[in-house]
Amino acid sequence: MSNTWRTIGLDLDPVEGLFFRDGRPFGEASRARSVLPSPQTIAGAVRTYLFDQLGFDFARLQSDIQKLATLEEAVAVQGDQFASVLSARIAGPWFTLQGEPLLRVPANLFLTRGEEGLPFRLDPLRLRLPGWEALADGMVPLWHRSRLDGERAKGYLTMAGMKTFLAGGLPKGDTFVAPEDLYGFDQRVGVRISPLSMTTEEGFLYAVSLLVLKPGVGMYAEVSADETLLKFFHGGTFALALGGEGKRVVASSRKPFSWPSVETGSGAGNLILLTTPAWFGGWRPGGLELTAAAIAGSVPVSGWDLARGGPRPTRFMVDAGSVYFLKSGTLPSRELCVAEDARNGYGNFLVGRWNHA
Amino acid sequence: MPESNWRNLLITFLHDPPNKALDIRGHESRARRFVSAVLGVETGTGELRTPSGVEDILASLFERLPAPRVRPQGMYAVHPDTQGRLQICHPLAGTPRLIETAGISDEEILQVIRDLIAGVSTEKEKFFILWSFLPQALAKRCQTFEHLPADTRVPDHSIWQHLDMATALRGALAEQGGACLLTLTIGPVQQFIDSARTLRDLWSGSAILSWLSFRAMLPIIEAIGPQAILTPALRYSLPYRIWLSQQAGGLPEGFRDQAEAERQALPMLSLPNRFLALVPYGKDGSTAVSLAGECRASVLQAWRSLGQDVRQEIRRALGPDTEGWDRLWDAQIDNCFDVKTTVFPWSGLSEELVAELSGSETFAECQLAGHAARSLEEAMPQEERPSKRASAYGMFQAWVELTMKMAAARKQMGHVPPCAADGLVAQKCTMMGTWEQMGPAVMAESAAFWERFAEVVRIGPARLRSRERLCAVALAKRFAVPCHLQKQLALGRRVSVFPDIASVAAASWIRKAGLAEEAGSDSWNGQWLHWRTRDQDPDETPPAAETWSRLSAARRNHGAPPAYYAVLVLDGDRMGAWLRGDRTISIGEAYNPLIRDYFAKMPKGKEALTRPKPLGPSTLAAASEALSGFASFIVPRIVAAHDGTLIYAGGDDVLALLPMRSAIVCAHALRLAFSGDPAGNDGAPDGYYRIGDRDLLVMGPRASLSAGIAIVHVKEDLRVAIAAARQACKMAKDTGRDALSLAVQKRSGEHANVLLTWPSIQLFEHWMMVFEQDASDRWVYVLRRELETIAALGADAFSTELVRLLNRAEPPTPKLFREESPVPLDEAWRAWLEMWSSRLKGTRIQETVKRAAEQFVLALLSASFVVRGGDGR
Repeated sequence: MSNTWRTIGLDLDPVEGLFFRDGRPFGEASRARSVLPSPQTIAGAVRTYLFDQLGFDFARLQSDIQKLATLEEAVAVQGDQFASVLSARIAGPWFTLQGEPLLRVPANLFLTRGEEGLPFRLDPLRLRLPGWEALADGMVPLWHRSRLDGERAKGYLTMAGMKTFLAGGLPKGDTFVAPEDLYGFDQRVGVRISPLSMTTEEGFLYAVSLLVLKPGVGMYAEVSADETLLKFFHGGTFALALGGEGKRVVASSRKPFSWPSVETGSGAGNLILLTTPAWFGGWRPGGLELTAAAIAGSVPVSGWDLARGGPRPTRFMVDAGSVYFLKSGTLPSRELCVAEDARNGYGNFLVGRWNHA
Repeated sequence: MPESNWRNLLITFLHDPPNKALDIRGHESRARRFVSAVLGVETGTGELRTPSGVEDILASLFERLPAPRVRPQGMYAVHPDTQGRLQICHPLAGTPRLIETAGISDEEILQVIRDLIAGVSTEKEKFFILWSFLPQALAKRCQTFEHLPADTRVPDHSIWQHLDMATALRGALAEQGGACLLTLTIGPVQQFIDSARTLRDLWSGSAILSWLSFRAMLPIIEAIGPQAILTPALRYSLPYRIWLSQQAGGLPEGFRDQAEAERQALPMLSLPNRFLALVPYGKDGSTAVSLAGECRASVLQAWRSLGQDVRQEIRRALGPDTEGWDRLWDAQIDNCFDVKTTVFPWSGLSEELVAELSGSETFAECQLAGHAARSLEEAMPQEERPSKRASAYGMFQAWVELTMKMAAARKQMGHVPPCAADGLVAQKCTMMGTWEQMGPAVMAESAAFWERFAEVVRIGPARLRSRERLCAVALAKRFAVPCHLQKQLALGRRVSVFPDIASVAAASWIRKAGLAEEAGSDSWNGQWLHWRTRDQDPDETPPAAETWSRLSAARRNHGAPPAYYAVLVLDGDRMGAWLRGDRTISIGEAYNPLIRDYFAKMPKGKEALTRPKPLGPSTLAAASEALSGFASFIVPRIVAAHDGTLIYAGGDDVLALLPMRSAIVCAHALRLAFSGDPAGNDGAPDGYYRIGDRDLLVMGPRASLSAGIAIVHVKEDLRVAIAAARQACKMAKDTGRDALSLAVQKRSGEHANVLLTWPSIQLFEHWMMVFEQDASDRWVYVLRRELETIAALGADAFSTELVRLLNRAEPPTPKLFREESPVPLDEAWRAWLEMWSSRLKGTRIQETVKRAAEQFVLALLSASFVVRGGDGR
């Protein structure tokens, strides 16, 4: 190992419709619709690629894992270089538009109802609201001092919008990108073939909706690893197989994206915006003093536990786009999540600042 | 609450006689007579001398607009005219209406009151009975009683709405700390309801939520009375009536049969997942906070108790050898729902705070409606001004608005279940896809467990199908009715024989074929409708020989049963704006013409009269009453009349499954009923809907709703079908609202979305009739092939080609289109284009023509598919 830890960016360009299943087991629906790719999907694809490049023996893993206690041990037994694949940190995926990453709209940004859809922003209220019961530690309501009525903005924000947001400002309307401008779904219909007769089976039509990105839209991920691993990404393009269906994307390395950062300390306090989901065992990250929070929702995350040969328990993560308004002067440590989650792309965040409503 | 408080509530509820508007001068002594009859005391008793107190004044101030003092000789007073008619106005539309006041006498009112409370001993029971049944009991004698105004000069709200608010205030002012608005919301809703594999799951999910909503209200109802719930309207809601029937004394004579009939039918519990209540704040908020806590606990306890009943029944059915199958039960059930509450005290409200929280310099700047009402009062000569303070105008609206905003702020803290299971777990639930299945974690053992489960766990009609493996939440949904709700609500047999989707798709066909009795039996299986042989599926019980024979005969006589059905989703437009007071009627519309003319003559009066009326409790109550009546009485009737199965009707929010042929007509009927359009309100005045001899208040002509219909195959996953209908409804809203979006999802994978404005539904219906009479649709397919080229040439070119292709179509197609359509096809196209032009303002004309033409062609093809595509293909 070189002991040179570095980060590279990866552009991911699908060559076909993508398919990522939700938690339901196979075979239960006559129609299945792809969900969006999760961080662990990308992390899995990248690790599989690296293992392949290093000549990892997957067949042996199956037997080793029965004998050894953990996946880490079962991998390490084939060599240190393989263990380093597990310790690589993979972040993303984020959609890109014309090569620039987009992030989920912060949960405290709203759009007025109706066709105009003017954006407005909720921030912690300085005034005391009669009757308000803080859920924890004197947390205050998020407010916009107007009579505007709206609903939480859905979709994504461009980097220009994100810079404004992180600086405590209100992004312009044209920095919001609707999901339907990024992707759609292709319907595919099939019929079950009897393995005995090789003819179609009556009544067994099934349909899948594949995730298809619009022109100019791609995905972006980052890999932080030892230089000896990163060399496998240099020079040209390579294919990655995403998800259980192994749908192909063309990956190419690039200089890592320069995420927006703002000077902290000014304004009423700092905020953190989750750019990927994070597991806190509830809505609240530990060790942070909060003034307010806007939670974008929860997302169930599971996966397959190779070591135990079964599904992992469901964990409900706080979704990307959630915003935590920190008490004046405080800042989070680098990691919000436990190490394994962080290596799999969860708990990424950006820091910004907020002002009172 | 001490008994004396129930006595106070009784006094307040009767402080104005129901027929006050007919003779205002003697109303106080009449009120005393009614109160004394109820309390069994002499009319001269001290507490009855001034039955109205601060709550009456507050209720009036919250509600009414300035009006000149009544002068000697009755100047500025409004009475019934010489023919005994009184003008009222629709509370949500402002349309005037004359009502006949030739009603019943005080003696008869007294008799109705005495009949209702006969045999009732406590004042608490008397209050519940009178509050719940007096309006309806009087309306049974004389319809007018339902609509009599509280104030003849501002006749936009009924006497009942005033009495309700005064009583609610009396309850809320019973303690120190003043009144307080309390909100409660249960979530997440949509995911809980929509995760369903069968119609039973779907109905059960929505019924559970309505049931939990009612359980949430119960601590307030029991502590301070049902009048405290401001929205939704509780008086006619089924869960409330059922609960009331289970209390000591039960329902009064004359209402028992109706309640029983409602229970025996497929009951629509129809309560939304949130409520707004007026409660006492107590010292430093202690009472309100404690009540909010009790309401939250009540929901969670009711849900746990439901889950526990299901778990016990399953345990019993599985027997003693299946220990540990429910290891994750409590964690999943306890983390399913999130209940959020807020409280906002009246005492904390000031004009300065309202202005600050709204980002305005002054109260007048942010509460224009309240300001307009104040300016009217200030314009009046001093001696004619009302004695009560003008400063209350607009404050109720501000209070509600800030309370709603506080509830929205509370919702920012979304629900993130904290739990994660320990140790080995099974795969995910096949219904929900999130939580783990119950049963063993090891796959082989799990398969055996679920096989046995499907075989032995059959509770009433509820069971699992092969390959279904469910989590605790999904099991609770599946078995909630037979294990818990049926007992709790004393429901009849109807909920046991829930139709399957194939039977819903073929409901009209089944009726026409005379198979309704078979289809309503416990043993019926809708899959038989599409079987080719009697023993087609070895996993399913075959039909009895006689049933199979009748089915076969019906197929010969009526063709194959439809294999497509429709999911209908309705959602009122801008309902939040109604409840925030942004869509209230104008001040001028609220006044009787006499008072309107009085103000119109004043400088600036005319302008102020055009301003919206500040939101008062009655507007809130009227909107709640309209939505509750629509959901509880109107929607079930209309959906049933179109052979549909109603899943949920909570205010403006409706989910129903229907045969596809009747779905569009049904949606149109619901749209007309929603606003009480005379074209579809069974002969009631504009803004009302007639059922029997009752004219129910509905939202009126200013309200609109959008609908989404997904037409899907019976074998389609129900969750996908519902999602498609919701998406279609969203599309209707995104494309200008007040329209129906139709999503046709053919099993071949071809999907089409068509936007229909409500006026164009009639045209669509005619097209369906034309295609039913064997008109060809081949020419439409030709038009679709040419679409891109022709539409690019402009609207006239499309019109010419449309007519040319139709005229060349095989007979009798051209003739049918000419004779059966309400307008020639080219004229229909023009109107269609106009509609699209108005909805796509700012779009280039070429784009508009292209979009409109594409939609026109899709509409024709969809009409053809709806009448033909379902014939078993």
